[in-house]
Amino acid sequence: MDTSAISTALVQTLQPLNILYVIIGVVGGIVVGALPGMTSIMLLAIILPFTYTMNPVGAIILMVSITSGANYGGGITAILFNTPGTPSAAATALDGYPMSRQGRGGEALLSNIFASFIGGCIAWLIMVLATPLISKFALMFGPAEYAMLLIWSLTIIGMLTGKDKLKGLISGIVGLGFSVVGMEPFAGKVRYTMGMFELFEGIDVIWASIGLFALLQILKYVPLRSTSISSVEGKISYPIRRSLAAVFKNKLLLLKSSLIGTFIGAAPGAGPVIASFIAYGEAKRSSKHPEEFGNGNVEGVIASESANNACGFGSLIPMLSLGIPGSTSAALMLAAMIVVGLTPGPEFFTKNLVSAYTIFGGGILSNIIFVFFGIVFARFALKLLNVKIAYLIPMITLLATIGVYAPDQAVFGMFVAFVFCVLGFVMEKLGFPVMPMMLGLILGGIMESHFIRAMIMTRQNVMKMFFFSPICTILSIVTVITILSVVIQANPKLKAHLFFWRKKKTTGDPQPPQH
Amino acid sequence: MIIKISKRLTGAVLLLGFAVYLLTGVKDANSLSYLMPQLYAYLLIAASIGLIIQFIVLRKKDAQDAFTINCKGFWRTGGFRIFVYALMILAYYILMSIVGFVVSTVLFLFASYWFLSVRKASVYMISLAVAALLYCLFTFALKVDFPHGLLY
Repeated sequence: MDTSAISTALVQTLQPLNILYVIIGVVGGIVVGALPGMTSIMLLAIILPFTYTMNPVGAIILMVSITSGANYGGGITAILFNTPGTPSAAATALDGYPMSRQGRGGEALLSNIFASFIGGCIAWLIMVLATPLISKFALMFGPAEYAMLLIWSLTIIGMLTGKDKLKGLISGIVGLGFSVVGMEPFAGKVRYTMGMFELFEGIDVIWASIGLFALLQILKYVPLRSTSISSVEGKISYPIRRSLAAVFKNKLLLLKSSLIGTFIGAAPGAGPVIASFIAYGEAKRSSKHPEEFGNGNVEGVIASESANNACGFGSLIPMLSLGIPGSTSAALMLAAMIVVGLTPGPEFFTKNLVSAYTIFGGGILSNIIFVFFGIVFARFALKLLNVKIAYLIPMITLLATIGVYAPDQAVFGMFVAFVFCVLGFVMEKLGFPVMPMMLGLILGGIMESHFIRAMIMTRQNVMKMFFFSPICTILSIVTVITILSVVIQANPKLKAHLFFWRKKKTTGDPQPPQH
Repeated sequence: MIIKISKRLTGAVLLLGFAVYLLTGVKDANSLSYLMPQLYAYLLIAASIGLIIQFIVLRKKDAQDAFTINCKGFWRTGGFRIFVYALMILAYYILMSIVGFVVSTVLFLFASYWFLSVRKASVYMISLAVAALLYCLFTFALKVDFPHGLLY
């Protein structure tokens, strides 16, 4: 490592103007991320034209800070109202919202902050130390590898279901069914649009997520209008030390989730939604208490949020070293870098080493600053849990409506969101969970294009696809293990039969004396 | 009058309907463009058959499968309030296309609070102030052009 370049970069990072950019970016990101439907992409797109007049490194630092703040902000509304600010925060809502209902909203929000911070730091460290290596790994991902990664992601649906696994799986298939609406990604054939040109690009994830989470949750709030969200009366605790201890207690989970987030972020096109759900599913699979997931287990929040933030940093790896953006936000940053004259690619680290280290420095600075603002912001946001639900319902409806309208600036999306809200309501009444449907919708669209490409590559031999490369083989094995663990967890009798020695050991323990 | 329906059976019927819709949209069964829709449709058919079998096997054992709707006292239940609020959201969206964002939002906020039995004038004022703040934030900072409506 070039120490003189590091020290120069450190001085540049700590320039007052750069610190100001970080603060503006983090605060703007938190606000935009917390608004349902709004993602950092919109803010990045607005800022893009202004980057031309800014100092090159400062512009990129500002954009990195916005992404970092938005990653955290999305989790706030997911935890407080069960309405994820960003689609990637949907996994956080699974356990974060039940924690809020139990009066543990403070713990959930703080765990979100600390897990995001540590996830970001781990990803940052990997980014600094192993960017060239991971870039090579990212390049090894072709259509077959992506198809296998997405098939593995689909098995996570099994982890998201409640007691009735069949209904959960069906919900996932319904989501996959909706993902085929619109223009087919390979040949461009238009399918199932009912003549509506607005559906040519498919069902937008934001329309569906606002309908299935925000609007549906609003309807569920209506009968509870005279109560508050927190079922615990009085002041809601804000246990900073306890939350920090809870996060550090799950060191292995943090490391695992952060690595999942970083590697999935580095693989172009996979994105934070997949990262957070895979990390959540993996946390549930490996947990000693999987039955507590979905009922307010802090491990669920830690896993999804650390992977989510790590993914943001992970997506910078192929962008900086190869010039390949790993996500939409990374694509906008790439555009900004080209505008300001910093051309990313294989020569970026040799020609612009100081700039590269300064961007890395800005990344870690944004991570530190969002902890400070996150703690302050969360303290105020927490007060909403004690407000009467009747006061909140119209305001959340308004926010959800703006959130669904703003990205496309079209009224059509609002009606689609409403249809999804009604669909979600009917599904829940019939006992089908909606989260697997959302995951099916997100993954289905990406999976179809990669799957068909892989089919063409393997001359339509599906079996060949599973063993197309070492990565495919590893992912196939992991998929089989995940499916088996879902089946075993779902059948207590089978579990008892398979792990009979553990049972024997338990029954063989001396019984405590009875008084 | 109380209507009792089976969740599994209703789910199976709806899934079959969705599967049929996916299959009727297939224009070329051998094309890769329709591979995934067909795959999902067959999976949905298999799943709905699974639900029907579950319904037959567990019909008498699983009391939680029944979903009841009390038609007589429906207007007094929470379900009726949910239904009305859902209609209000739909009306808000339709109204927004006609009279624009500002007028429809003011009307929606007032109607919602009234429906939710909120009578405090301060709540109405604060909600209007927040709505105005959001409007300014999105219009001026985020450059969002809200619908003006057909009338303007």
